[in-house]
Amino acid sequence: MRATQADLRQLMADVFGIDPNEIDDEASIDTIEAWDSHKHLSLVLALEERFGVSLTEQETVEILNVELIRAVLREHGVDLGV
Amino acid sequence: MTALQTLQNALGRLADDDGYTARLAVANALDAATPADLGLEPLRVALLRDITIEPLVPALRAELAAAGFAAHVWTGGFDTIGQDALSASSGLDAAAPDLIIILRWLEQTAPDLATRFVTLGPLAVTAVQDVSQRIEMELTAIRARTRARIVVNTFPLPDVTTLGILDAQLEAGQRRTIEDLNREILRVARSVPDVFVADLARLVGRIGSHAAIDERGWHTSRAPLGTPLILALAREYAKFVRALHGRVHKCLVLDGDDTLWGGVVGEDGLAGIRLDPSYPGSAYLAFQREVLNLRERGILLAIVSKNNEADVLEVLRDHPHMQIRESHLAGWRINWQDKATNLVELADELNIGVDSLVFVDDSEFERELVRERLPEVAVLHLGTEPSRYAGKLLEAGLFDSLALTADDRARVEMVAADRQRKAAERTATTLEGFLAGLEMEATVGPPGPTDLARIAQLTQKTNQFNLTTVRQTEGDIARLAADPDTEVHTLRLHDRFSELGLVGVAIVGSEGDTALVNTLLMSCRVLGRGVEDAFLAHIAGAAADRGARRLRGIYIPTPRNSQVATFYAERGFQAVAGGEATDGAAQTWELDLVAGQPAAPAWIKIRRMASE
Repeated sequence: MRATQADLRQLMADVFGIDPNEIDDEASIDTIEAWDSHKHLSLVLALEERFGVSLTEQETVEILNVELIRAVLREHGVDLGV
Repeated sequence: MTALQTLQNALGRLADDDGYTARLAVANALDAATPADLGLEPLRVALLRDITIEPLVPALRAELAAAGFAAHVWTGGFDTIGQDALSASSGLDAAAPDLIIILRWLEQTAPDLATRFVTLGPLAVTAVQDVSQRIEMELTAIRARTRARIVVNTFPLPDVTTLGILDAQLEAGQRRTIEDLNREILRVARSVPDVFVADLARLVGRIGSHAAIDERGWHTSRAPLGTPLILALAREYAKFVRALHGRVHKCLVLDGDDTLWGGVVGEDGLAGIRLDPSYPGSAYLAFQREVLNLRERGILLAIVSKNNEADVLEVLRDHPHMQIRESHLAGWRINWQDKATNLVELADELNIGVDSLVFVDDSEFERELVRERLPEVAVLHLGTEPSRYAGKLLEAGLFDSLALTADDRARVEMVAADRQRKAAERTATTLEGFLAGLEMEATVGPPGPTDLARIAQLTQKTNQFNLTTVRQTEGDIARLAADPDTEVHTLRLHDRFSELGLVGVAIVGSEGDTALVNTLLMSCRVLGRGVEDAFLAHIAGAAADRGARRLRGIYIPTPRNSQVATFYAERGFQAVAGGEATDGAAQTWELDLVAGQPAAPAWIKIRRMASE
């Protein structure tokens, strides 16, 4: 799967209904106001669809910031580069 | 880029991207834009549920936008269907929905049936009764407070059961018991007016439980809908909305080469195209058979193909394996002009709106051209594998309706008769001579009990000759027909060539000595013959018989009914002060019945059915 940081930013922007530029490396459930438990479910579905991965139960509840999302994607063989 | 362009682009993407993210983008764009600027019809939806359905909401709004609706979705509390349904102060009433979707999940609604089935024993029957009674009570309570249409769901059958292979051997195994429950739900839905059933069990079966149901989401968040099921369910609900709001398609327009048969007839010749019982011809045969099934249920068929007409007609007439023949077609345009122009001409010839066409073509160029030039046409891409064409055609559900009447089945025959009529028109020397030669006989009167479905369907589907475009359900019509202050008039027509069926509906209320025409519509298949004048004469006569001194008509302009903008003015009605034309607003017209009544054309024989 070829994907970039920009793909992740666009995906998160689509999920949370915000501008991709608002999503930086530090973005997390604490910094993005729209990131609530319901939007989090959409985030999981969108990540799986976009990057062709299937997250484990544990991973779905853990990915609460951009850094962790990248790490989990890397676990599944999706490297977004730097 | 403006917010409106962003929305347009996002909607454009849906046609070729069936993913979840594309739908999130549409939902965001809807929030940023003013959807009315795109011509989307406002729709209020209430969603009652016993599970977490939040991820479904953006997908639902996107599918509804693609179907032409700007939906506002009000969501009831988690697992509060009972309170929402039974209490007038629950928020449901304040949401004033046009449509209420109730989504129940078996693990939540009846955990015993879902997860402790073997412990129930004979009590399983009681558990089924409990659920159906609860649903019936809720539906009845909602129905007492609102006329909104309600969609409930069936329960998916478990794909693994405690009893394993034994389950299928038992009269009352778990799967069979849940099938019984689903039948109960259907029975309850049929007993309460304007309740419809979305067959969730079928959707899950098509997707496969493994992908459709997200056990992980169920345990972490009580969110059991997997992405494929979210997408399918959103699309399914949009089909109900389309059917209930008259956004139904009437005619399937097919390309020839690589759609109805494999290969290019102009190059490969009659003998060279792929169409026979062995692969790949067999896939095209199966597709053609499915197309003919649609014709059986009243869908008009047409071909628009870039070819020499003679080549395609030869295939239609002489190819031994061709299933679709010339006589099955309502019309065709086989020539070298662009397909958008051909579609407009075809719609005109068939007397239907361009927006009631579904266009199928394997060429991306043609699909894009039609999308660009005629955004109101539904463009369907069946993919690149002919063996999947038939399934994709049905899955799109573009012809789905909520009733199938005898008139539907007869329609395609009527269109064939229409071609004979047009031939007669060419030989007649005057219009009146032609109309007299049709030997039309109109039967007017109140509806019989078997007419209600057809009347509701006409109010839902008729867009062109429809003065007020008020959509009614079967339940609405039954209520109006029983109301002593309201008269429902119907008109049936037959002529020398065919029985045209129930083609006119008027709903007339009264206010003192004024009769109010709240609904007046005619099926487009009978326009231009003076039938509308015969109908108006009957309506006016009936109003006068009931003591009315004035007949008041209303015209509510829509993008599709401009052909009746001058209907009342041309028939001697006077504009009522304050009711004049302002953009998009209702106009009121009046006819003094004491001074004289409109006459029916001499060439239509009228039979009056007495009220029972």
